[in-house]
Amino acid sequence: MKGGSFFALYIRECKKVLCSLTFLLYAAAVFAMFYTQFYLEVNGPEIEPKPGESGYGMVAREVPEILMPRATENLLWEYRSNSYVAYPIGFYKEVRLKEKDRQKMADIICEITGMTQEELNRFEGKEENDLDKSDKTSFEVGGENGIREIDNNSFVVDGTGNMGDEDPSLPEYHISESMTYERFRELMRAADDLIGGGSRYSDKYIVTNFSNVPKTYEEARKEYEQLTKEDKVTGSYARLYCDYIGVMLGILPVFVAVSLMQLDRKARMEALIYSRCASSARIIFARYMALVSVMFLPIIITAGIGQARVMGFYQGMDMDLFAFAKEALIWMLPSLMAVTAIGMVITEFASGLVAILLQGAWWFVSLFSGGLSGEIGKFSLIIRHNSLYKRDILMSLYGNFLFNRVFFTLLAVLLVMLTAVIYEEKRRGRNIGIRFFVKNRKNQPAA
Amino acid sequence: MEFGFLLKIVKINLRHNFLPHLAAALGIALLAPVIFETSSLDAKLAAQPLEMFLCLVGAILFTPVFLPEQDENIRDLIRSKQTNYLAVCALRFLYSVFTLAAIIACFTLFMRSCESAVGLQHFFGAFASALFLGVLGFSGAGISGNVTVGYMVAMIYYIVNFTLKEKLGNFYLFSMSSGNGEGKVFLLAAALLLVVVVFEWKKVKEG
Repeated sequence: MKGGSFFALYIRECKKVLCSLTFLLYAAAVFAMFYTQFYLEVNGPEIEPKPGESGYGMVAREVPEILMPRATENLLWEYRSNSYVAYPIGFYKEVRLKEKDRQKMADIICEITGMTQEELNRFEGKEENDLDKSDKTSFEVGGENGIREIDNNSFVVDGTGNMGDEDPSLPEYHISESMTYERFRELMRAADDLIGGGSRYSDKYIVTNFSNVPKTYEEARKEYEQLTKEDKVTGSYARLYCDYIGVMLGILPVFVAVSLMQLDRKARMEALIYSRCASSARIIFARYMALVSVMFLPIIITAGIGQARVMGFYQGMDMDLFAFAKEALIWMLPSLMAVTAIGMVITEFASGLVAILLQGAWWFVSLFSGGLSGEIGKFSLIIRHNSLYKRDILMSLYGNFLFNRVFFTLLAVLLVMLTAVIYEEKRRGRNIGIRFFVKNRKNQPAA
Repeated sequence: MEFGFLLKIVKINLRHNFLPHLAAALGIALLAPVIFETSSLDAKLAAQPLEMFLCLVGAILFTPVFLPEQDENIRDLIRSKQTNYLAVCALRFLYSVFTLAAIIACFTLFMRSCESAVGLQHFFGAFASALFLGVLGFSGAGISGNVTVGYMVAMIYYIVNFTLKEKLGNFYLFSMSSGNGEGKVFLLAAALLLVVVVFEWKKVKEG
């Protein structure tokens, strides 16, 4: 076949990837992530809940009678100190409203509590001295290092577990009798808009922040049955596995792709390859397939180990024998394909360092702007579900999940086609692309 | 080497090799107040932007110290010159140290002006974390001869800090954000040790 068979080219590229230092680092990082976050953490079967136990943990459940007073009280505190906590992209941010927006916030509070503006102003003056004593970080919601963490439907209250200074107490206030729950949520959305999004009053966080209630035996039982029956045990664990490995797949494949794309240039083989008769599409697709298939190996190996470990804990139960393999294909492969394709196209169009910087920025925003579970955007690069439970939440977003995975698969294929076009243009001697962080190469060889 | 000659080398390197990386580093520093709160923070929260975000400036500045010579043509040219190649790299490393210190100092002062509880300890802690992360990238790039490997090493270590946290002991980059702020001297010492190892490695390799 002209230019050598596609398969021979593919095998050659596979060898290059396998022998590259970036791939070895990638594989080591995937194994390390798997071992430290999954293998060591999954160290026994989940305990079946029994009736009459002292507690079954907490659950975020939308109970208006609980949510409304708690959210209102928190809003009053934040309004009083004009200091609103928000996590717009995952990190703590304290928002102070300008006078105009503060007035709008006062209108919201007045509508909720039925207070007049004058009453609210008096209320402010009365507590002024007390508030000066209060720590502005009271009731901070965040995980270790202050990062918001939502796990098992409960919030971790700041890095030290400190709920903050609860003094002073608020004067008596009531929620207006005419206030409906629907209107209350609308007002909370308006408050969140004023704060700039990502606040405790947003749709995303309001229930988990203000409506945590003790889990009942029936709820705990239902969760356990979902784990053992609907997910057939391994399905739940496979999702947890994907959650951890997905973090790595959002960034590391770009390094392997960039490294391989730069290999020819580094070894001064560009001119030789440009003059070969193999088509650009064949070279690029062989390279891409080699990258994806070789980088998928550590995933499938760790998935196999994970499946075996979980099955060892639940002997005698009905389990899905291919759960890890299925999730790896549906959940992991599109991420791997997309990040690899992005690395290839940007390296070819601009430079490897630009590819790393852009992918790094996307990874950072995608990772920290989403919660640990319960949020699957149609275009989120990293999908997280850091729980063995909450199957209902995941299933309610399964449409988004499938759309997301198909979107990234198609995007990957399109980007590889674009890479082939750019590569072909370069072979023809056209100075296509922008060179960042490297000198412009003039007199590129033409085939 | 004469001082004037050194100055000339630094000027040429700053103009031809350093500017894009400096721009990226400044971009990160300018983005930090957008992503993180910087006003009226207590000591622990104030450490977050400094440790968790500005440490990336270290990776941006130090990893590409060996980048120009990654191009075989330039490497061949450099080898033919009388000027010691590693001395040029050392100069690049030094001006990166000053740039990192300047960026972190400016950001610390900015946070202080925003009434956050930051001080010399924050500056030192953030500088040590950023330098260590940067030197990891520098070492990866220097030893492998591939800058992409350097960035990858730095990135993996950055992620590891989010997953293993305090289990990293004295090598935990975000220790101030978690409250204790210990281990910064270890980070600094380890960074300096790594720099010496990499230069010795290069000396042997380059003959």
